[in-house]
This record gives sequence, structure tokens and C-alpha cells, in this order.
Amino acid sequence: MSTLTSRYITAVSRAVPDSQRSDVEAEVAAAIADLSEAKLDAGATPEEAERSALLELGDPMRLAADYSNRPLHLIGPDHFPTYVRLLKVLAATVLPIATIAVIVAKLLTGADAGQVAAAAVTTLLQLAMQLAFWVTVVFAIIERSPGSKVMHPKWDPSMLPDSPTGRARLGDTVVSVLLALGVAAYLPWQHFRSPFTSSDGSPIPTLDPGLWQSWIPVLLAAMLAMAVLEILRYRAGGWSLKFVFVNAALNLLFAVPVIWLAAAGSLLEPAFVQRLVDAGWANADLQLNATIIVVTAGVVLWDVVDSLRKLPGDAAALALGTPGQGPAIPG
Amino acid sequence: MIDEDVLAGHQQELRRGTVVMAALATLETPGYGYGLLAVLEHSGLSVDANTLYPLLRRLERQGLLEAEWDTTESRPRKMYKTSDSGRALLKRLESEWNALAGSLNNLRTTDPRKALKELP
Repeated sequence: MSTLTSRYITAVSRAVPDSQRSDVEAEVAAAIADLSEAKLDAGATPEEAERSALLELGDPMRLAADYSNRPLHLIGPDHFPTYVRLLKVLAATVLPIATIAVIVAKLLTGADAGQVAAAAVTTLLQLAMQLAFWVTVVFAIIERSPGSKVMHPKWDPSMLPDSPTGRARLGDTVVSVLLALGVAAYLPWQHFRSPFTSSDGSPIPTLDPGLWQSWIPVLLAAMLAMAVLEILRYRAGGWSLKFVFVNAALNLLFAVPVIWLAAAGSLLEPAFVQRLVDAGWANADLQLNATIIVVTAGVVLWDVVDSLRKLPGDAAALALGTPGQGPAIPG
Repeated sequence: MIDEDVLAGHQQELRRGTVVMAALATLETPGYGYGLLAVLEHSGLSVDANTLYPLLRRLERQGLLEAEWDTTESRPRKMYKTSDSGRALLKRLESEWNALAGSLNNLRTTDPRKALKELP
């Protein structure tokens, strides 16, 4: 038996179950012999005949799969929809929860902004890889277990996802505008009319007054611009890619300085923190800053994700021109 | 014009089931894999070797073909023969085939608009 042929037979027999191995080996050997004999009769040289016989039988792994009736895919059409649905659910629940937990844990142990960001990103990436990998492994095993075809959940119309309603919603807009204006108003209010007072009765601002020369005007501008953006978006009838980008940029313009300053411990007025410590809150500095970081990051993340989530529905509604709750598009 | 790839894809789908019928019909007279391959090729039902060999094995496992190794020749060959249940299955497949052809013909010969009107 020549080398190519025996190598081919070995490659096929290795990929079929033990019980069928000797039988399949004999069948493949006979098939190769017959095919090359026919080529020889047609005038080919022995080498050509062998080569074209093997080419005709094709990839040994595929032939072995055909012989043993094994799937040539990792996850087949029976399980693929469930697989994708499960991955989406896990990505939308486990990933954010675990990442936020890691961020909070890092902040409570007094890590600085860089360490927190690094830990969050590594956790997110590792967890995403692990989730995808293990879910895939489990489904690949299910695909290969006998009787699994009857096990997959039957699709039912009640499993349909809600269709995006599309178009700007007045309630959303009002809430967003009030929130932006509220934060903007808080900045001067906490400076001039802070409810916390020192022993002589003068107000103690909650934010470091030195920031008025640097970051507070930026934060104020970002919040006012955000309110304007919400109104413009409502008038335009919903999210478009342009609004998503500007919204994300304004969010970052606000969140990055706040988180940075809080992590560096230079956001809050030291006298204000001291007042809280005096009042009995020993860890006020650390815990207050940690809360500010988590809440800011969470709100900003949610706002950006929400705008991205609504983008397709709004774009579709705008393209269709279906009447929504928002105003008609001018022109 | 018809896209060649599209045509080839649909032709392959149409032919897929006919190989089983052709094999069961041809192997009423006992034969071995390569012989069947050549017969099918001659009668215009060409099928790839790497499709036919595994198919024969599957039909054998389903009890539709009987197989035994023939060692009288210079080298051993697996001889296949249609079994009784294979013959019964072939009969069913043939009547299915004829029914399909008949239905398809009816669709082609009746006025399409009239056929639509008869739909409930």
C-alpha cells in the first residue's frame, strides 16, 4: 500500500468512532483501489491515478463525518438561536453587574482612578471571553449528545422581543432636561447657599471653590449643552447618529473631570468633608468620592448605552415617517 | 440570465433525494460501490464518490441494503443488495415522486389565475 493512500485511510479512520473503524478502513481502501484502477484503465500513471482517486474522495475529515454521521459544525441550526439568545442575556446582565462590583470593590479599598479603570477593563474582557468560551463549549457538547434535538426549547410567538417604538418621547425629554438643569443649578447653589454652615454661620460649599477657576465652568457648560441637545433631539424627532455622538461627547466632558477629581480627592471642599467627619462619618472622604464615581460612571454609561439602544428604532421610525408621540418632522 | 451558482444550488437540492432511489433501484442486482458509481454516471444521475460511499453505508445501517464482503476476486469488495425493506421503501418513494411530478404538472398546465381563485 503506497504512502498517500495509507495516510489517507489513517486520517479517515482516526476521525470515526472505534466501533466503525475497521469496517470504514476496509471500505475506504476498497473505494480508493476501485477509483484508481478506473483511472489506470483510462491511461493515467499510477501516481496520477492515486492522486485523482484521493482528490475525488476529498477531505478525509469530511468523508469521516459523512461515514459516521457526525456534524461538521460546532453548533447547528437546532441550537444556534438558543445559543445566541443566551449569550445576549448573559452579556446584558452578568457583564455589567460583575464590572460594577469590581469597580466598587476597588474604590472601597482606596485604589486610584487608573487602577480602577484597569481592573474594570480587565474584568470586562476576561469575563466576556470566559462567558463566550464556556457557553460555546456547553452548546458544542449538547450538539453532539444523542437525543439533544428534542431538548431545545420550542420557539413560541410570546418570545418575540418588543418592537422599538421609535421617535422622541416627551416624558424622556422632560426628565433629561430637568436632570441636566438640576445638576447645572446645583453647581452655583452649593457655593452660595449650601445648607452646611461653619461655626460662624457662613455656608460651606460642598465642592472645592478653587475649581471655579478651572473645571466647574466646564461642567456647567456641559450640562447646559446637554439640556439644549435634549430639546434639539426632541424637535428632530429622535436619536440620530449625530446626536448620539454629541451626547456621548458631552457626557464624557462632564464625567471624566468629575471622576478624575473625585479619584484624586480634589473635588470636595476639605472643610465640608471635615464637617461630615466631625458629625460622625469617619470615612466620609473615601466613601463619598467612591459613591460619586460609581454614580457618575453609571449614569453616563446608562445614558450612552440607552441612546445607542434607541438609535435603530428611532432611525427606522424617522425613515418610515410613522406617526409617533413626537412632533412631525419639519419639511 | 440565470445565475450559474443559483442554478447549481437548486439542481443539487432537487437531485439529493433521487440518489437514494437510484441506488435502491440499481442494487436490485447485487453490485459494489464503484460499479454503482459507474452505472449512475452512465444513466445521467452522476453523483460524487464521496457522497455515494457514505450513503451506501448509511442505507446498510438502516437495513435498506444488505452487504457482505466478496473475497473471491483479487481484492475484497463490499457487495450491496437491496433488502426487502429497501424494496418497500423504494416503492413508497417512487409513488411520492410520481405524486409530486403529477402535482407539479397540474400547476403548470392550469391557468395560474384560476388556480389562485380556488384557494380558500
